[in-house]
Amino acid sequence: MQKQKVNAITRRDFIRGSLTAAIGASLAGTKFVQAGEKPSVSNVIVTRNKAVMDNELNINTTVLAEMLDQTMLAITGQKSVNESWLSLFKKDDSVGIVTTPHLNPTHKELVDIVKISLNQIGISDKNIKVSNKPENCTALICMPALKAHWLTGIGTVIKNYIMFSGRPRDYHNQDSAKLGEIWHLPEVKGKTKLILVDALHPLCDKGPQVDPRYKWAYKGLIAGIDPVAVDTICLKIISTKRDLIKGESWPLSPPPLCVEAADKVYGLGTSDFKNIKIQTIGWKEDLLLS
Amino acid sequence: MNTLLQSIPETIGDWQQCKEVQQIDSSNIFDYMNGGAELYLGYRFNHLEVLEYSSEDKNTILVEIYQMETSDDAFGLLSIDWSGEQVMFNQTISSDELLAPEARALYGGGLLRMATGKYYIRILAFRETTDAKSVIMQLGKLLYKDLSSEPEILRQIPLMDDIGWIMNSDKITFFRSYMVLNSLFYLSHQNLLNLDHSVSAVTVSYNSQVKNVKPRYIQLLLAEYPNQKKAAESLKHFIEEFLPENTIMIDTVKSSYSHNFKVEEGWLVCKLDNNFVSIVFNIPDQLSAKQIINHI
Repeated sequence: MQKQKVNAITRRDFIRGSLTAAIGASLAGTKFVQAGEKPSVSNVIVTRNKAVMDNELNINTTVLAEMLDQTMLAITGQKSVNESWLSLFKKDDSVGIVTTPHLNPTHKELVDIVKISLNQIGISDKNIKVSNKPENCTALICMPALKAHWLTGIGTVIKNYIMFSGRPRDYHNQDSAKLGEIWHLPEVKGKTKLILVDALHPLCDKGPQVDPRYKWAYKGLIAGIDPVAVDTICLKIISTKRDLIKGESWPLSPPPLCVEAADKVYGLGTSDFKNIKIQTIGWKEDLLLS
Repeated sequence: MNTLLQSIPETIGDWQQCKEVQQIDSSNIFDYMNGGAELYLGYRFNHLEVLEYSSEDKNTILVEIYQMETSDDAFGLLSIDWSGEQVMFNQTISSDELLAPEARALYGGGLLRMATGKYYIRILAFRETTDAKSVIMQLGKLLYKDLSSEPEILRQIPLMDDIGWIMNSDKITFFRSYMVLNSLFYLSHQNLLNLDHSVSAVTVSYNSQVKNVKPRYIQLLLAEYPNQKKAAESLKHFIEEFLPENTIMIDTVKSSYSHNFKVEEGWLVCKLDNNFVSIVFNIPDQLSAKQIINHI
């Protein structure tokens, strides 16, 4: 039998800027390759407060709750916090909160505050699950912590649903470009109402295990409706921090295929900075967005 | 029990071992660290033992002892990142015998990493305090047994000072897996060089002595295969996939071969010498490429 030719994505594709073509060729024939409709501009909210953590990294939950309120108002444009949650979720929704359990876990304090916010619009605890079972949910909140990843470059928004696949090892290395297809699984598609990234204490090097030298107190939340736009901003923050640490260009390696592929191949949102409107709230020092 | 574990006490000052020692091997390492396991399995991993110390102020120190099959593999894990405060424990080998940085224990931010014999060890304080650092250093000293010699392949790394390229000794990394290579110098998401546990490989950068030259550094990949046939086939595979426009036919029966190629980042040279494959990336011009071929 003739060996099937594998389309290898290489360093040269990145240097040439032909990544999209290379990803497209490498994914030819895979399921769910489809570009969907995307908004012309995607809003991403970056909310920071210097007081949200002390020097020992203890969370001030009052400040964190305020940050979340500010974030929700900015995302939705509603006049009250409850209205902002109700514009995204219904009272009878069964909500799955999808957190990062490993490497740089989502802070439990943030999860608890989100649960309280959902309670306040009438969603009871029994209908809120920190879950890896999307089929039991009518709505999902994608709530990873901001981090780089040694097999996929970035391991934040698009990668956060990897466990929904039931085959996480199938989405590493070159196959990380396919992470976007998980968002098209029938039990996942269309359910994500909010992307809320815990950027309180991110990890900018790839791991695979935490090295505290590459964590820093960004003290932020990054949120939006467009998962690709939010991941693009996350990528920008991580990349800028890495360059600052080394004092020279220190690109993520391997390069994060999944973000551009989520845009160009899977149509999940925009990775084009020109089409992302960033709104910053609060503490401005070392924003890492310029 | 791992003999190394017998070196450390159950109590150090106010810190006490607080859990049973966790035993982890290749069958359950993914449960312990998810995809991070690929790093350790990319080397010759035997097993891992994990224990924790806790203090009265609820701080925790995690101790991970990775037993690898060879000291080369332990060295390789440390060599992924040479940055950090250098810590010298019981050094017995003269630095004159070493190409890589001499300190085999590195500290930063509450994490001590070290390679001693065939063990790679991580000792991590969840909260870095003066007290925690003191305990980490005590544990490190107790666990550190000896400084092994460097992997043999490091002796094959060419010095090119005389043609203006200065090797960065703190950028030497030993590896056996393309995933590890990609985390340092991205080549491809495919295993273009057929790397596996039978291969010893090293990558290192060299900076130019000439100011304002671009690219500013070149990157050497050097791999030792178990035999000439595998080396030749691996180089052939690399050229076919990485340089698909190339029309040169590689005869895998030949035991030596060298060529330079013009690519987007300047020039690239490849060389086959029996069971060794050398590739140098980012070379600024053809003249330099020809000089480098004569040195590798």
